[in-house]
Amino acid sequence: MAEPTYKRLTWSRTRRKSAITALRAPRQSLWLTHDHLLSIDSASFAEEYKRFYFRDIQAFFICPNSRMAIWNGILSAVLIMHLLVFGWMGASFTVLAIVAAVLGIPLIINNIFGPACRVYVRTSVQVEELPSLSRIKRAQRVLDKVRPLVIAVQGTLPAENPQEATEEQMQ
Amino acid sequence: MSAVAFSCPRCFAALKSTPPIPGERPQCPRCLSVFELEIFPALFRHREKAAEAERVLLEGESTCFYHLDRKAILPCHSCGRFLCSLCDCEVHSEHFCPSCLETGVKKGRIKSIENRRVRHDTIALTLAIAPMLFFYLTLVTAPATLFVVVRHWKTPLSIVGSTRLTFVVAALVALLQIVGWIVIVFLVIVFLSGRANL
Repeated sequence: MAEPTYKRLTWSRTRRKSAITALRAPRQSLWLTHDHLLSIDSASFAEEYKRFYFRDIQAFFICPNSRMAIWNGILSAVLIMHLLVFGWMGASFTVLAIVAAVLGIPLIINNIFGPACRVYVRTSVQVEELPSLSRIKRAQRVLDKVRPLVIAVQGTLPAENPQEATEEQMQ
Repeated sequence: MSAVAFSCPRCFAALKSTPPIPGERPQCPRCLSVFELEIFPALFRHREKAAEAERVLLEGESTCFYHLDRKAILPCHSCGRFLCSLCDCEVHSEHFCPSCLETGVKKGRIKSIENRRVRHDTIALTLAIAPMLFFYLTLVTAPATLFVVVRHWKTPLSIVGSTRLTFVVAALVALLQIVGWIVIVFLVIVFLSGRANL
C-alpha cells in the first residue's frame, strides 16, 4: 500500500508539560491527507504518529486562554524597563529607537498571531490536545480546511436536536 | 435515547449541557474553562457490537486456525491462515490475524498503522556535526556517520516524506573530517621524518 501524500497544516510546537521539561518535550505538528489528520510528535531522533480519521472525529474543542495577554504583559514590561534604563543613562534617540524596535518586534508578532487557545480533538476512544494549534486564528484556519472533509465523510449535523436526528438517520 | 457523555478535555469533569448543541460555548463547572465546540455526527453514533463467530455445524467446513470450533470466514492477508470473525482484524480492507497484525505494527510492515519511525538521517547529521566541538572525537564519529548513512540509506525516512539531503550533508561533513584527519596524520609524518633527517 503506497504511503499517502501529506500536506502540512501547522509548523511544530512544543508539547509542553512544564517549563523544566520544555527542552526535552516532543514537538507536535499537524498534517492533512485525503482521509485523516496526522499528528506527529518529534522527539530527539524519533517520530510518533497519531492518525485521526475523518470518520472518527467527533468534535473539536477550542479553549481560549490568556497566554497572549500574559506575553503582552511580560514583553511590555521588558520594553518599558529597557527604555527607562537607557533613557536614565542618557542614551540618544537613535539608541532608544533601536531598543524599542528590537524589543517591540516580539510584542508586535505576539499581537499579530492573535488570541491564544488550546485545541483538543475528540474521537470515540481519546481526547488529544493539538499544541501546534495554539492561536485561535490559526485554529480556525485549520478547522476551515478540515471541516468540509469531515462533513463529506460523516454528513452534516442537523441544527435542532442533533442527537435524535442522527440516531433516526442511522435507523 | 441516552445522552452523550461529554466531558471537559482539560479536567475531564462532566459538562452540564449534554447533549451538546452545535455552536454553543459550554463552561466547565470545575475548571471554569469556556469552550468553542465544533461537533460532528460521529459524536452521536453508537458503537458497533463486537462480531460473534459462528460455530461449525457441518462436517468438513473450514475452521478458524485459532478457534477450532468456529467457522472460518476468510484467510489472513499476510500468513494465509483461516480466520473466524473474532480473529479477523481489518485494516483498510486488508484482513490480518492478531499475530500478523502485532508483527506488522512492530516491524512497520503495515504502513497505514505504523506509529513510530526513527529518523536515521537526523542521527547521522547529529553524529557528524555535534562532535566538532571536541575535534578529536571526530576520529571515531566520522566513520560512524558514514556507517549510519550507508546502513540506513534505504530505510524509510519520515512518513510525511523527506529527501535524503540530510544523509548527503552528513556524509559530506564526515568525509571532510576524514580528509582532515588524513592531512593531519600526513603532516605529522612529514614533520617527524624531517626531524629524523636533521
